[in-house]
Amino acid sequence: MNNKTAKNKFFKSYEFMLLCVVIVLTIVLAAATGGKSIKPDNIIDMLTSYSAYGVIAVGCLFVIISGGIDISFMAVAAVAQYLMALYMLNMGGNFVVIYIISIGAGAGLGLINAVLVNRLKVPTLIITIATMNIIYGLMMRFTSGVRLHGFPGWFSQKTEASLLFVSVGTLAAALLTAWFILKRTKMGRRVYAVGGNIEAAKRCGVSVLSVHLFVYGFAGAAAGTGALIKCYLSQQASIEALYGDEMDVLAMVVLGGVSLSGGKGSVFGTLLGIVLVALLSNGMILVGVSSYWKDLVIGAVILISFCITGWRVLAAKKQERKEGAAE
Amino acid sequence: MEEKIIGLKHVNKHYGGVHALKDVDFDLNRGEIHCLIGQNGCGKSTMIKVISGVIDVDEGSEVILDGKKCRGGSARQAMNNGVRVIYQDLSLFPNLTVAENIAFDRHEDKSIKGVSWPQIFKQAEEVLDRMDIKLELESLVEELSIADRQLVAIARALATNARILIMDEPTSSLTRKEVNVLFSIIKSLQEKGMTIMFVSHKLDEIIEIAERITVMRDGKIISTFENKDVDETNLAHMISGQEISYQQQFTACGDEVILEVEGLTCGRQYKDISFSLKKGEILGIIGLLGAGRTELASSIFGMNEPESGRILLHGEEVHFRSNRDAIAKRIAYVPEDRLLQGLVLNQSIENNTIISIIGKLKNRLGLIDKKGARSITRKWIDELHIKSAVPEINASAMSGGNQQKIVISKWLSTEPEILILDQPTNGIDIAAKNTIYELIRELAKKGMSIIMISDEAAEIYYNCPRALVMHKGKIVKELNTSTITEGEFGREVLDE
Amino acid sequence: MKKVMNYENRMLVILTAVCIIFFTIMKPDFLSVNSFSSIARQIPEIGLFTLAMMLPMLVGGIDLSVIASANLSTILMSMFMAANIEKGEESVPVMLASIVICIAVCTAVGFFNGVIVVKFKIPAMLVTLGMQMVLTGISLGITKGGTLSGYPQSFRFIGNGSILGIPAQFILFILASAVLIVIMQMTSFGTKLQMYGSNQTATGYSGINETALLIKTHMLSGAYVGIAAVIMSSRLNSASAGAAANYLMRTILIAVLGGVDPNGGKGRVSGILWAVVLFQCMATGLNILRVNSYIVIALYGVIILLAVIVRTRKNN
Repeated sequence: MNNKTAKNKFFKSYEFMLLCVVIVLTIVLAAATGGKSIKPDNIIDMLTSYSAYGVIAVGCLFVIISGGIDISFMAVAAVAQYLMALYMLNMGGNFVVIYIISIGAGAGLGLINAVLVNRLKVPTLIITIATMNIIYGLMMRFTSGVRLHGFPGWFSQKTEASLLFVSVGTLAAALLTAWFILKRTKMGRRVYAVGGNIEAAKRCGVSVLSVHLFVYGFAGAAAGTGALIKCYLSQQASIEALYGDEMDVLAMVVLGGVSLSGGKGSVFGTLLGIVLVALLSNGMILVGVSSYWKDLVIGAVILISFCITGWRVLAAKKQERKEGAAE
Repeated sequence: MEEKIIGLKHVNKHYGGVHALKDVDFDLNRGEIHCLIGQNGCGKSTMIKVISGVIDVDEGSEVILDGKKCRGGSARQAMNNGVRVIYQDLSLFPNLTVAENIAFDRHEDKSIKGVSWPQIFKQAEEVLDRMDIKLELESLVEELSIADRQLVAIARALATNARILIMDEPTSSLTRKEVNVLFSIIKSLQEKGMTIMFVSHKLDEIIEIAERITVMRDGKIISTFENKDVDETNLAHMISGQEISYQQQFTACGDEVILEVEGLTCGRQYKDISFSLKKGEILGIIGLLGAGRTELASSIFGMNEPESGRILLHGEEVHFRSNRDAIAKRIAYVPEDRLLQGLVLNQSIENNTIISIIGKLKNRLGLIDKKGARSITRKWIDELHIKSAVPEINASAMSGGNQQKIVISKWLSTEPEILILDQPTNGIDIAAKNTIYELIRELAKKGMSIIMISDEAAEIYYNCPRALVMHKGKIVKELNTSTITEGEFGREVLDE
Repeated sequence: MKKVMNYENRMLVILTAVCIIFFTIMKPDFLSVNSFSSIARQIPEIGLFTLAMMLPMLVGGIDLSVIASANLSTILMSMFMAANIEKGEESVPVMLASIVICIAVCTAVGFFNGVIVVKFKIPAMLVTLGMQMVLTGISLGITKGGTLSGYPQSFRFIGNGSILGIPAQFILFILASAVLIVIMQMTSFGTKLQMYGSNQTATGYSGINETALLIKTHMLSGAYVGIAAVIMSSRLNSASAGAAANYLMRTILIAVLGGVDPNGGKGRVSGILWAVVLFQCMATGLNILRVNSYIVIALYGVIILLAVIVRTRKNN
């Protein structure tokens, strides 16, 4: 009985709809490109190149579940990337050290966001716009936008395996970690609680500050990790490589079916969102559509998905209104 | 066993300049069901916050728990002491499952490591078994009815080691049957040794469930009684602080039928509603929250499209697509939640008064006729005797009774033929209530047809010659109040 | 009873004075006709964009598509002019028609924003974020990332000419602001807008047409974007998908500085006007002092936070 309702729920869920869209899109693209899009080479290429943004999107998911939004993550990622690159250029180091540096730098900046969000009663969008500009401005002032490259051999000599490990491997690890945290840890459940009803969470003794610290810290750490992947793929640290691509990441999370007012969203949905954005962007290149139209396509898909989500919520409410009340 | 579990001695509490609790002495005995009763704003909520330890009290006040003096600390502290509050808004997580809501405290319990879903479901099931009720554990709370949510909230409190359960207006949105279920649960909890404080403003329910009753008024404890020593009438006197010397004052209404409703049905909200309203009549509709009365009223006001049935105005059928159509047909609706639905608090009295007719207040240039707006506002301030009202000041600066008068003047300025008042005296002190009743009678005398919706039997009995009793979405009875006594009326209403 | 100026506006004027004194001490050149005419030339664009931002913020929303909308409309305007006016020639009717097109495109974008916000009940922030992407996408697709430039002389007058020594765009700005003050203070639309922003439920119960009100608000906002776009494009003598990208943050900054409550309800045109003057004095001053432009960006972020902190404190 329980199993059956759970199954029914899945078939009615947004994730299921999204899965269908992804499958249909894959088939359509494969047909349109004569099978080019489903060749292993292309799939691996697509996965590696979108894994950086995928990792950042996973961090963003946490913020949106908690009921906020963060758009400072690319500025945060740029800082983490620069620090990591500087360390490599000056001290050498190894993979463990640079992972620690980029995650630590990202998390540190995320904590600043957390404190501001917790203390100030204004939309988180406005707070993170402010921190984004502060971080970006200072960053450009002190680096003059110089690109860093010429990294040590252990970092610059990529093999197929190491490439897959750093990009797709890290993404998989990030997704698993996120899934574990959200499903299996108390902090993960508190994130949902705060997003669902912040007053009730306070009354249950949840420390909202600690949830904010965790969520924005995690988002920062994810941004730092994404920056590392990006750096490994392009073999350079540059601010422009990340800054300005905020929308691509937000698109992944939003398409992944988060609730627009917090409290809902799943790692599986976000994974589908990542795949969908990757498919669309990759597919357009293969089909031969000029990359200038990419923003339009993804933007349009986002707007349509908003409308579908909004319409579903309204329809459910209408249904509830008719059926609820006098019982 | 007369053992104090919580004692309050000379407790004072100030919020800014407001003296919310004035020298309060209060005891809660182990294992009793104690009711706290009083009008809105009498200090009940502050009492709950003090007892549950959410807020600190003023210097010189003493709060004693288990014989030990304690300071108000955090909500967590109180929970560890075994005090749990079920707030009126229930404080549930709509996005989480029933099971997780019930077992949520596990997430905050430091002795439990990690999240174990089987354990969560097991605990939730155990608690629901103890309460002898069934709920789908997998459902999200947002999918449940209000009554089921109430049960989830109680179950959550029981899932912790609660010794003292404080319930703030738990019955406000329950039907009578659901109240019976709730009361039997409360009684069985008491048998298991729980101490229960029940906060309400409904006399009949309190008399039914309480062992001891404490009456509050204006931040003071008026008195505490054994249940057997009081009845509804003298409780009502103590709550209001004055003898109610109501008399039925009915004015004859005309013969002309203004509004007819025929077989109106809207899903499960209400079914097959038929009645008519005459010119100058005050028609009462009495029923509990959730009986479908507000939904019916909003359908007549064009804000809730009915599925079938007809609404006729002056014998002509009307279809309202929105409340703008209803307003154009001279129907007005004073909604039940004054602060949320009635007023824009941080806007001026003038703007609040003219908002519904602002489109018509135009001068030759098409701009707002400021002089006209001002004179209309002044006119209603004078006519409704809204004390200390200045058109420019914000509505938030006024008292509850005067705010309600502002809402009424907004609707009177649309010159309605039919005025629907939903719980018009909610949270208003007794003196202001009387002026609003007088105003309603005045309006009826001038030929306005009025529908008055309420869950207070006395309010309907003394103001409406004819009353419809609504229950579970249906009109179950029509009563002629002038031919029966208040007691009979109350029984007729309760006896579905 | 009635004060000449409310507390917030007085604070803005005092801050502006402090700003001017500070920059004059640091660099006496600041107090010159040149810097003031530069301020007067730059205020109109950013001021109009901020007024466009203020309107949706008053109803508890925001419009992140203003700059993208301006860029798309100027690109279309520029293409229309290029198609109908030979190089080096002048045609006033075509020019007027293209200005109308520009403003109409922005108003249409506002219309779509409004419809999606009100019909699907989606937060304006997300709708306009998606819209921004769509619009930028169209602009990029049309221009292939390039810049369209070269307007007729008569069109360039709007953003570069002067009437009696006053920059033409400044006169336009004053007129547009005056119109908005009249709309906000003296029409039923303005009153409804402010009431709605403070309490959506109660205004709904009062018989206000929420759908029409929200769509009108976004359309009016769009029209102001359009005017700003005309001025900007004329001053730059070009149109591109990426122009004025850094304006978006500034409009939010000025709106918050000018006392618009991001949660809706509060906000006045006069507050925006004083805030834009303060902002531009500061921006010009920092420019004259040759402060690193990236430090200036960071500073703007700090100012947003400070404005928000001061407001949060005051409300407590």
